[in-house]
Amino acid sequence: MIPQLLSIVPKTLHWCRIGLGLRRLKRANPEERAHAQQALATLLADSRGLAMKMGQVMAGSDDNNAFQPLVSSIEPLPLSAVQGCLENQLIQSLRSIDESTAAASLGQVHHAVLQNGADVAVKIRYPGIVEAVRAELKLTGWLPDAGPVKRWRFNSADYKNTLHRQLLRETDYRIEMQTQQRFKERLKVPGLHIPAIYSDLCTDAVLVQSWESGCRYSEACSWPKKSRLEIGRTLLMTLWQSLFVHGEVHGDPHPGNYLFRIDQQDNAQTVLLDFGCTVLIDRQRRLALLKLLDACHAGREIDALRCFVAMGFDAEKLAYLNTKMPELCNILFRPFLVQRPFHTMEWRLSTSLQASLGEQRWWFRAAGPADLMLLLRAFHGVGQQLEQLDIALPWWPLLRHVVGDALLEEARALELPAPANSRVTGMTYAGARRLSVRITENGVSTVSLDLPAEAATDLASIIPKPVMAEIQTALDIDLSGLTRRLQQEGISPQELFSLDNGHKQCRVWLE
Amino acid sequence: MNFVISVIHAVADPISAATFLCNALGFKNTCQSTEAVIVENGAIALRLVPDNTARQGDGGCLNLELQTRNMAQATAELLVLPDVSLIAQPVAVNPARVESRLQGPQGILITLVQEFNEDELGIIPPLPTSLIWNEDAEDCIRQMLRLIPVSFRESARIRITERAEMLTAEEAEITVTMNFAVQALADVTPLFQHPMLMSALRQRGIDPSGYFDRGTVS
Repeated sequence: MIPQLLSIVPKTLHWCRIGLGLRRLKRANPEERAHAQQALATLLADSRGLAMKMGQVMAGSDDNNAFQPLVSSIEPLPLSAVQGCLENQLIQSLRSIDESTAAASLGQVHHAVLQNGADVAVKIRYPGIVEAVRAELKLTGWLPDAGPVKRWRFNSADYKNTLHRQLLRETDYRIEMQTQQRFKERLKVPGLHIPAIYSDLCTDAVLVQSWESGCRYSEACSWPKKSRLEIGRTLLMTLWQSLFVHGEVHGDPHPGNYLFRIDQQDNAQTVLLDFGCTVLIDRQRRLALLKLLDACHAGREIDALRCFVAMGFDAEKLAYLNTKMPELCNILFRPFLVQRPFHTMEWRLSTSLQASLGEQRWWFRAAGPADLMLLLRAFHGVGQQLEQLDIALPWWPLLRHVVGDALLEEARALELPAPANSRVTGMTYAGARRLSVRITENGVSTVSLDLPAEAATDLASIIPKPVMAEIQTALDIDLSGLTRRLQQEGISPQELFSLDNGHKQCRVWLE
Repeated sequence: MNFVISVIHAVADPISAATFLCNALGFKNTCQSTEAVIVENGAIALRLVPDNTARQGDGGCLNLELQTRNMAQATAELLVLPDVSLIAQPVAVNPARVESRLQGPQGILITLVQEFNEDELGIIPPLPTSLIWNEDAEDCIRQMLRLIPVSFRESARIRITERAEMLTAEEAEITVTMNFAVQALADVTPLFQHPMLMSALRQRGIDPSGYFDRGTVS
């Protein structure tokens, strides 16, 4: 027990420091931001495994932010520290193996030459990393729900399970080997190259694949327009084909997982690496998305809410956004709706969602299943990459080409599941729809929130603690009593309470 | 409720200023009182207010821009009016725009503008492309666009280019070839112009059959 505790305590402290770093970054003003980013990046780089993985997600596709070192230039371990993972069969197959120049969160890559002269990349899992990741995942399991996660009722268990499953899957290189082979066999996209696997040399801790040359993303962004368009087409078609045709998407689109080169025919080639993290989307879910995209593109009326539900969204939560569905689809699917090449810089997804949904955008996110988070990451990654390539491509015709008429017809014919309850149709619900909280201090608005009415049962997590304390003192409110009453009597429109002490006004009501 | 753009101009003699604006520049007197005279021309309302400190001929307070298709003729017509004088000869501010300036009465400054379209300038603007275009395909579309009346040409240029690029992407290509370009031309051009377009294509050695049987894209 004590040794276990001793191993967990430093990790816990490290995660606390990361938490503080995140908080500092969130609150930093523009001048302090770069410094805060740098400090957090250093903390994340200090520990391989989950923390570094988190940093890689933060790096996104931007080659030039403070988290980039986590993607491209982490100090690898010496070969002597990892060669214990190499089995005899592999050692005997190697003519030579170099020190690693590319380290990542769970392992590092060495250039090697086989006895037959073939150049290969040997990816070696860090010794002890599986146990380390398991320990860190245990810690995330203890993390309490807080902030938006609690306020908007994210299914945190689903998120934690997805994270656990995904990370543990990533530590087994045999699974990655099979995934990579599957992608290589299935994906037929112009300009896409997936390295060949040497399956007889792979183990759960070692992955051997062909050595690929190529430049990084930032360099490819300065290539001529033709090459950049070819790369963009490859990225988009790879995503569409993986998602809609095969139902399995590469879920780790950070720049370190791509190489770019020009082939002998002067065409740009994209080398896709690292198949540790993929997202599986079953047929009904992807057909529902295709059905929705197709209807939105054609301007046909469709029950968007039921499509989202078929994709795995929570019908109850989504029902609050029913009236906003057409606008939401217009924002989310804009690149598919315009009848011209689309530059992703025009999208401004976050700004548009904020303008359209306000705080309720969290409700939409909370309604989505956890595995869609990884899919969204893949979409977001491609969007960022296209923006940096500074190209415009026609999304819908490319998608149509990829999915073909038969799949599109199948999607059109898909029977959507019946609404789970009356609220989904928005017909019979007579209770309050919205909880509104307004707090002003000295004439300045400090809190202005419109939340789904159900959030009224959890006011303690919404109203800042000092304000709540003042309210309870001034108004003698029994918060848990109020919660119980709402649960028993139903959440109907009503004034919950208000406070005005001259310099501070607080009003909370259901409507 | 309707809003109009209204400009307040202080002049020594509002009635005299209003008379000039109505007689020479086509304004209409819509309201007259001791406090102001209001004239408008459908695009702008001018509230002419009396100001004893303003002097006849004070220039530059109210700058009106007049578009013309014939700079010399318009200048001559304005100069025959009383109290109008030329203060700046026509000058090209850029290849597509020439301006001259005249001083009218009551501080009214007239900027006479002649703008030249692509035909008058003898230029063929590039297509607003996003993908790669074969040289002959782009040249063909740019030439064909000259058949379209100049006032519709800019929107036609955008629509044909976008359509050709959508057709190209349907085949997962990134280079617009002659085939996609001509099909886009046929798709976007109104039906009544098809015979003229087909004839022009034949003159360029392009067989139009097969492109013009799909109707037009709205």
